Amino acid sequence: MRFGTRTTRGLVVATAVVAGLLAGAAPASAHGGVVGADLRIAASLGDRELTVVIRRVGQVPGPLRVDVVNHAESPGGVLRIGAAPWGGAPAGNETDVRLTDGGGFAGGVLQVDRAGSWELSVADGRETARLPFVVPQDVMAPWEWTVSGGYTAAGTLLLAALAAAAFGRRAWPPTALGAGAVAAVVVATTAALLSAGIPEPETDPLTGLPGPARPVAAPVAPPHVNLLASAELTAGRRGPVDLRLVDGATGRPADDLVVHHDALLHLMVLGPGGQFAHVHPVRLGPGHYRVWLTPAAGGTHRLFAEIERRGGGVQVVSAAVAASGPAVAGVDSGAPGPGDRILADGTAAHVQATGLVAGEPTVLGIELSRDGRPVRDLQPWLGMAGHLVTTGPDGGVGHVHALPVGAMGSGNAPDESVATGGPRVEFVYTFATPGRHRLWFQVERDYRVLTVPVDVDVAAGPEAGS
Amino acid sequence: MTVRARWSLAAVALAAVAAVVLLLWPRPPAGVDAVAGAGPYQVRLLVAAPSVGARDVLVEVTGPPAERVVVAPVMSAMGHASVPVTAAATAPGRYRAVGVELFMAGRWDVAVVVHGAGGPAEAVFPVVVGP
Repeated sequence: MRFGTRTTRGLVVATAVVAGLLAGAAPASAHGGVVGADLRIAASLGDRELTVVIRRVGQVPGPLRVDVVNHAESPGGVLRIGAAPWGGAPAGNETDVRLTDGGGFAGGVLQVDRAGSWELSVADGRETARLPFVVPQDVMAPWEWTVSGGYTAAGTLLLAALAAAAFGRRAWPPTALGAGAVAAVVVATTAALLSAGIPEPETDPLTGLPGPARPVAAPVAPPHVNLLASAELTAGRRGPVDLRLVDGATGRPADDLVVHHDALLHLMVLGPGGQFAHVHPVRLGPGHYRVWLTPAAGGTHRLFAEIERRGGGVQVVSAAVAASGPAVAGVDSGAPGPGDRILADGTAAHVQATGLVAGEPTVLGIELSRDGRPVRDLQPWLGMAGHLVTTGPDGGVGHVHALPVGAMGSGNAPDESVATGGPRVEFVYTFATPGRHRLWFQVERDYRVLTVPVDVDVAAGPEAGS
Repeated sequence: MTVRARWSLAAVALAAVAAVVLLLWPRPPAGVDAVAGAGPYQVRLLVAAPSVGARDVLVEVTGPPAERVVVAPVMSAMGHASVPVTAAATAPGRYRAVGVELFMAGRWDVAVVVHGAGGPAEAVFPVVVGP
């Protein structure tokens, strides 16, 4: 190639700059710095309704940020939180979190020094909840090594080619090194383009390390659990309900629950007078959970615990506890039907539940307004825009969720600090049996969970031929 | 290098880049055209572009005359059902459901419920929705 002297110099400078940039290619910090996602766990600890948010861990060893959300009607106070590796005691790794009365965020910072299974302890002075979480190990995928290594090699080879051309006597070293640089760029670019199709290995929940590249054939689902509930409850007084989960096959405590819908255990409590509560018992030890309840009346209270075991789907196990005290006067007076009503905190609610036929999917909606204006500041609760719990003559308990807007399948659903939901929350459900069903719509606004009970009549559907 | 050699080198490079772009350019997901039996009816489901969003679904029903056709998609793995849409009749035996919300990528089970002279019946079609 014949060029002028100035062109040649310009080319050399440009090549040197490109080579320098390529050689300085560091692994992209987007993957190297941030690992995992925020973990939210709802916890009904003592007299408080809390959501414990364990923020994603950046570097190991490094800080662990824990935020605690206090809901309305929960008293303020001081909680002592600590973190320890699984089975250990938090030796000095503790801090205090000061909660204000009513709703709000408060947080503290702890330290994690290794990857793997950890336990977060949250103590309110009376009992200590132990919440399991996993710190994943920050490991670069093989394609990332290829990409950054390829670009670094390309830059180095290009610089070497320039040096060989400037100071060498033979003709072939610059050509060979230049060809090597081009090959390295091609390899790195191909790896980068194909990276979207390469699946990332799953993080093993027990060790935090990436799992085997080829998963074990036919993972086995865990057996069912049995729920053992014991409580000494008196109507009108707050008392503890102890729940023990035992593995259905071995009888040992079942301690492999995973957080699903932002809680380890969702408990629906149905009281004899139509009383309803949706709470989240805290884990005190392996397979041992506790929640404090105030029964409105004496009688049998039915408990439905919704859990998910590691490797299995969601299951509901039920038990019953008795409360002493005066029984509810008369039969259950029933809840209002669909339509308009005013809630306890002044919000106006319009429940739309019409045309319900057994066996057909139907749309159930609730629309909220305050002072005549539609409500637009609903917060997501348990990661969802709203919840609908249904019970009916068949005895089953349905738990329907409404997805929050903007969180379509992505890992980072908005947390309770994002108050942009409403005014209408919609659910789609198929009632299996005709008859009278009782529904509870639940949404969160201003750190308070609003529960709207509704009685609906489901018409019998035509016999479906299948 | 001669002028011709330079031009041919540029042409080869351009051809290589074009080939890579054509191979890797993201393509919209293939449409769905499936047939299933539902009781006394034969149901054909057509989804032109199964990607995230509100889509039109075409249904063709053969067999006893149908009075009402409802398209009810469910994402079984997530435990979430989308709002069922009653399809409007566009021609005898052909129905169009407008605005069926497929709000997430992944595997959906689209149930088509036919109410008609042969009684109510349902056919479920697996549909993979792309991003």
